[in-house]
Amino acid sequence: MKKGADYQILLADDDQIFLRTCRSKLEETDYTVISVSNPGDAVRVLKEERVHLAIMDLRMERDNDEKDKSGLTVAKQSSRLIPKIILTKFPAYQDVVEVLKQDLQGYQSAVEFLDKRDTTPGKLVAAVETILAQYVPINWELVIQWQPHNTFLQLVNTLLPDLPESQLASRSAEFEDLFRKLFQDFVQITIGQSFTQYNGRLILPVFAFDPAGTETRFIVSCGHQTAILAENQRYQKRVPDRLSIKNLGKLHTAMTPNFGATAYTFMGKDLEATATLRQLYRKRAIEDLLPAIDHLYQINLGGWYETGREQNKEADLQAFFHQWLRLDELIGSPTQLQQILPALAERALAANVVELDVDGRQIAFRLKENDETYRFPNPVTLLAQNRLPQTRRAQWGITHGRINGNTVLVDQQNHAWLLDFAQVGRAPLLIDFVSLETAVKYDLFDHRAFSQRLAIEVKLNEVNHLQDDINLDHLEPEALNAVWIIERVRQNAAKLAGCDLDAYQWAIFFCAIARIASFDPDTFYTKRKLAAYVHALLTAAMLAEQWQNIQTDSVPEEASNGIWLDHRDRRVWVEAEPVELTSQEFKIMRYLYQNPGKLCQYDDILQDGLNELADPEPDVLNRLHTAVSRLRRKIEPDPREPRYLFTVHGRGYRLFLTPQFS
Amino acid sequence: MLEKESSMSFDMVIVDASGLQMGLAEQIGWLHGRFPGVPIVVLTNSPTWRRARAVLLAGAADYISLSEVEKVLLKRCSFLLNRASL
Repeated sequence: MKKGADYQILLADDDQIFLRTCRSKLEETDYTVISVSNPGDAVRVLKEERVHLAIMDLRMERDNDEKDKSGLTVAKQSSRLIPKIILTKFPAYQDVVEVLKQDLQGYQSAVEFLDKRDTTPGKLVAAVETILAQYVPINWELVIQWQPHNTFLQLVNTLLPDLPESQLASRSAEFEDLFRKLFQDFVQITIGQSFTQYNGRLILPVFAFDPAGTETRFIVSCGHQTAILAENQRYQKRVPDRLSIKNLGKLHTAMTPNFGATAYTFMGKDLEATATLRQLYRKRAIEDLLPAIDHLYQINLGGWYETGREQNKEADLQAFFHQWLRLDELIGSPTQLQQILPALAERALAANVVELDVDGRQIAFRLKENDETYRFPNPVTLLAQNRLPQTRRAQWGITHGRINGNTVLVDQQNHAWLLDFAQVGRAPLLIDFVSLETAVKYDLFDHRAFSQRLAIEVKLNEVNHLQDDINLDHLEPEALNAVWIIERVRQNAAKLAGCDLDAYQWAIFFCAIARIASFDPDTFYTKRKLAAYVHALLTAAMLAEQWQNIQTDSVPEEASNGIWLDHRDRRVWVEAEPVELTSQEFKIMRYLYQNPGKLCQYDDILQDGLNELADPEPDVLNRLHTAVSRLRRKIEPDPREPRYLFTVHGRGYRLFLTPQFS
Repeated sequence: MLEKESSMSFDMVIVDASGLQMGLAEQIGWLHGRFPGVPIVVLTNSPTWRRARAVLLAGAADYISLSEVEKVLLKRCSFLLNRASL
């Protein structure tokens, strides 16, 4: 075994003599061995412990029962990232085929099948060495340093705060394995402080040195394996121009049973002097950050937007925003959202943020600074009554999907670099702009006086066009800085996303609603966080004031012909008839509806419509087919002669919003 | 014949192991090089676990006894073609 190596091997067999003999031989070779004698213990160890290789008896329960394949069952149930050796005293070709042939994703249940009768402990050790070298390449000689003080234990604690303490050491060692796999070709790495942490991932700077002493700088996204896989899929499939110097270049990915990591090469000059927009917001003069905002949109994202831009695409923007902001998960219904407003008011008063008086009709903000009360319509009521302006057209293209203070890095030359590719996808371009405006107002801006938040909203609502200069008079410096950045974001939105003020404000309204909906009355918030929630309510309320006179018809005109998706009631109208859908059917329908007339491939529907991983398991794909078949029965006047929903065999589905007659 | 017909392409290769002139694993390796990514199914009238292990470790996608060909071949081929199309 390689010097310094720390491989752990699971040995599972009900034959105690074989177990003892092999364990002792493997331990002589410096492997750490966990031995168990039944399938239940094997499953538990594979799930909870750090295991690099599993050796399992095929018949772990009853040696004289040819139907006993418990070892194979355990192999199939456990992580496919742990290579396995299946041993048996009774080799049969059918078992070999079942063990070694590849499944739909190209994975084998085990990587080796051996006859116990001619496998001496020495031969087993040789097989173990071969398999570890081939399937578990860990760089045991890598020197890992931290900058500043940090440890793998702390990173795991951050990612898995609820992990039982008994598993912490094992997971931490597994996380270290991940980095030793990822930096195979290097002799030393220094791991910096995390830029951001979101949705099961941490993003860190890493400085790596190869044997010649050459330094390469990486941005590493690491965390839950599923989250990293999902991010990788988005990056590889969606990010245009990904090898360009404008973006991070991809190096490679490493996986362990529980974790994953992807290292992106950082092609800027000085990673050490590079920081997130959030970190720089208070450190640098805002005038210095404005070129970074321009660079972000015009140079970096501008290239993305030119890829597959669709001008004035007609789609259900409301449906999109509900999905993008996860409003269904957050609020359930406007009634539920309405119920959290009094709790927010109570907390805001207790924290001395502002005095709020909420009723179904209006919201009053009483500011202690000037003892004035400002009244606006209750925006949640407006949302519940669907009295929002009809905004259906927007430019669509490839968007980042999560631009905020944590996902934009700025270097010393004021060049912007994007982090986090987990939300990249086709979307209305304006989301990349409204998300940053939202972040500036609710996350970056900080002022003790709520009147400054009101002042910002008043200034933003004074303009008639998105690209207009904003009147900066009488703003205090902190509010001035926020408005200055927002003005630049909006001007870029008008220029690059062809966005008008109506559509932009409409999107801002939904972002504000999502922020309010994320308020949890049972969670402790700092005064600053509470002020941000109330600010979101103020944003939505002031926009509601502009829209309060808009009336909507009880039956939308669109519902009279073809297909129309009513997001609020989660149903679809087909030729003026409403059709109720299940949650899964609705999500599929929503995705198809957003891509009318286009071939929607299976993995796109699963990934973007249903938030499943692409490269689906066969049963996931079968469930999709079944759900679409049910959907077709509901929406097609005659499912045998579809007019709207068509199957493209072996590839996906195509939905037309108007009937297609053959 | 396959060596001569260099322009031929296939979605799947089915090999009858009884007609092979070279070693099984060697044959699978050659076919892999000749038709990269194409699933290779080995048929045999005398299946043994050692041969099954050798051909599957060499990269064959399946190993089927001729005695069960009628029962399983179509199903297994359909699975492999579906996998290739994903």
